[in-house]
Amino acid sequence: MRLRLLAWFAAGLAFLMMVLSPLAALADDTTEPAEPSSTTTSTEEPDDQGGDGETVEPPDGPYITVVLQDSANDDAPIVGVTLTVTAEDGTEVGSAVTNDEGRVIIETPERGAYEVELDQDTLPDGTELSDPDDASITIQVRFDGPNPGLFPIGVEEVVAVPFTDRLVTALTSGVKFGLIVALAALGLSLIFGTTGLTNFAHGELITFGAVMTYVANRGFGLPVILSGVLAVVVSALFGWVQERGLWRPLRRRGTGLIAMMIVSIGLGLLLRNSFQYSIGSARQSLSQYVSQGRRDYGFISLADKELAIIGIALVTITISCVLLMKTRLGKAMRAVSDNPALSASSGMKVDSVIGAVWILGTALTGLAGVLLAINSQVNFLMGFKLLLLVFAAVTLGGLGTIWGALFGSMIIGIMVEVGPLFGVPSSIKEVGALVVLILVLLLRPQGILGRRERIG
Amino acid sequence: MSATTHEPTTAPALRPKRTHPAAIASAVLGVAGLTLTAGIASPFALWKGKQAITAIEADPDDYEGRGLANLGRVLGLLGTVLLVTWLVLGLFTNVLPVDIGQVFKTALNQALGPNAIVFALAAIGLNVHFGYTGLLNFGQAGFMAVGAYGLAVSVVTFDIGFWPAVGISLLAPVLLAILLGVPTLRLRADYLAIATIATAEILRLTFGSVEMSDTLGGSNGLTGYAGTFQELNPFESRLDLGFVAFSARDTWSVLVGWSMVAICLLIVWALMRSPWGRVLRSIREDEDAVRSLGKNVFAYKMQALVLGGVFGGLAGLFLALKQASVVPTDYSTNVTFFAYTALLIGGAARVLGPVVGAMIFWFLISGLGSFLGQATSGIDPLVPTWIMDNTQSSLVRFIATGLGLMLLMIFRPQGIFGDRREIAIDER
Repeated sequence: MRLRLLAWFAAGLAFLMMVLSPLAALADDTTEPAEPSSTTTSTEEPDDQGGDGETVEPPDGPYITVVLQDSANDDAPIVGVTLTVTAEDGTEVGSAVTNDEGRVIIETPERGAYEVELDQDTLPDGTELSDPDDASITIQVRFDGPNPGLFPIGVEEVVAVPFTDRLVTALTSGVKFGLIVALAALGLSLIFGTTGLTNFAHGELITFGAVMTYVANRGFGLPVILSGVLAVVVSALFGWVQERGLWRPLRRRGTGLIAMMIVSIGLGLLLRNSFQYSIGSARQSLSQYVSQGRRDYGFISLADKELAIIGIALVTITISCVLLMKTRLGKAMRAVSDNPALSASSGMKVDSVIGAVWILGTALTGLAGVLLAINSQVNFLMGFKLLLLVFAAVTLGGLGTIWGALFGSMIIGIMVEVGPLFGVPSSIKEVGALVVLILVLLLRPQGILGRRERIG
Repeated sequence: MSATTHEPTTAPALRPKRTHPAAIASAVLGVAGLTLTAGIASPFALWKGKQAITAIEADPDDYEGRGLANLGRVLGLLGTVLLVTWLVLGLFTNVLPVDIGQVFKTALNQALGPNAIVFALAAIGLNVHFGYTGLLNFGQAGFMAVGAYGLAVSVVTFDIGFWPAVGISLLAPVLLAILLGVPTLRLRADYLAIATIATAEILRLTFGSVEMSDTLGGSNGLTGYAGTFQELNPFESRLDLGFVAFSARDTWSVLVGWSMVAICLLIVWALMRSPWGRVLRSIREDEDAVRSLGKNVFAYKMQALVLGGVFGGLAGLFLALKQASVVPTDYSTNVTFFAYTALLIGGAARVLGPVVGAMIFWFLISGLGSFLGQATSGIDPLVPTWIMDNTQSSLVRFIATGLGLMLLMIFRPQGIFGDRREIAIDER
């Protein structure tokens, strides 16, 4: 089986230590592969070429150490690769072979810039640099203490992986992403349907779920799962408070929809900056389930948490849909969404129904945030970044329709993840979804499943 | 489509009491004054509270909310005392670690400086779109971006001369407006908003993309195109007028910038009192009526979008010139939102509204930033670090901006100079 290679020249851990410094500081496990989609099933052991068994003693004086890891293969060390260090003036300083930790240590005469070159012929079979043309890195050997800079040589996927494998991987993460977007889109669609509000603060409702999970988990030390449940409850409460304290009074005094839209922009700005105020601008991790290995399920391989995310999202969406289709409250919601004036005149308590919609909508949206937080990390901008994708999903399916929101989300989710395989630059993979948003508005503004009247 | 809910109307005598809006405003302003704005909002809380009490007493059957109004008044009084205290202490003594004179100087500098000009130009564009025509363009940052990148890319990447590049930078927003307008101008207001905001994001992401960094500069942006502009600078020394001071470079930027603003204002003023401007306003009020008079509504909307877009492009062009670099993060959606805030402060559908709004916006934003920045820095800061540290203090003004935008839209959508009847915020 062919090994897919992302050889990271993982660590130009150019530490410069003048005298006896502990080698323990070499821990470089903080790096994660830039591409989360790495799947490798190879068990092939690279044959060792003699670096085996060497004990590593940090030399006195400055030295360069490099750790080679295969990021496609759980950061397994790559053994038996020859590395050569050359000084700036072209003289060779020394060369060494990676030991069974994948590490080499090469002494350097003094500080300065050194070029480390990897001999690609000595790489084990099935392993190659992601960018074979660039097998060297420049390392600044500095005087002032450990310099844990990482210099990956390329983190792009090598085309060696069969296209179908990559497609399946991308499709899987697309489905996962689509389901998370679907939860948020369902919330947006419900609220839009019943109140007509285009809520630009909806992204912050996603962030709210994630931030609440983070606060419960890190702040109060609760387990992640309990924190997530709490966060969903608090989100629902937040939605209710918002509806009672802000949107209902605005509706009562007859504020126009455009005015409410601008109010929601203000609210979004306020919430976004408040999140940053409280948790800072860095990405934060939860305490559990941060990095999980993938299990192989034959055709696809998934981490347990990914499986859980997909499961929870599917179950929640199914329950919500059944709720909307079968229960009295669900019927009332759809009736209000269809024609609020008529619903009111047939004796429905329109305001209570809208209150219920806000609770359900923000709970679903909060759940999307919780799942996102578990899937990756918590950041004050995470929801705002997703907002336009959620809009795209809802518009694509048809604003205000439930099936449309689900359908649109899946398309958007898969498109975002699969797009890079078909030539969309991966640093801007969201652009494709936004282009679709505009194209839909151009060709079929009511959305694929929407009704004509909705475009007004 | 009517999606708002309407309360079932009952006989007037049985109508439930409403909380008077001024009472809510007073309470919110009172809280905000004490927490977010260092007391600046507090006098307004007092004023609104008094208004609410008067209104409730005049009409006790219809209104309630006395408690809220009183809360607002109490908080407002506390905040006002706080405001007066720190003003007096700061201006006349050295007790506070905050230099109030410096705060005012910073604020005034920003209100008259290049940043306010950028937002004034952007807001003038939005005024044509939203204020006069009722088009909800949320993509003004996109127009700014093509204006700025039109110049920078032409000069840096394609090596075209400075002046032709300025021409390209003025044409780019026209092109964008036409591309954007053809599909979206027929849509309802909120669809237009989403389409424009999406376009602006597409542009920003593309300009910042790694793959196209050879042409567009990636996330580091582009520099080295503004040489001609700086060479034209006749000022050689720093300008210090006592209450404001600009570096030689800023003085030149400010001179050019305010001249651009003046020309734009003149154009808007002349156009809006012409028959053409009246058609735009009529479109805002009732599109179908205008159509039934035989006007081509789409063409008028398109012309308005192009005109406002060019003003937006000018804002981008000026921003690119004054800081001599373009970076994609300068054209994020927040810029559009802040430009809207500036427009709504001054008052939409008023010629001077956006300019006054931008100046007030920057005065408050930078004044608050400077005050809180000083209050949270140093060894023994005025505000304890567990409440707010120096990094957090820079966020408070944006939280206040968000709250301000909400309050403005709810309680005074016409802004300072506007006319409530002229604001296109009703559902259509």
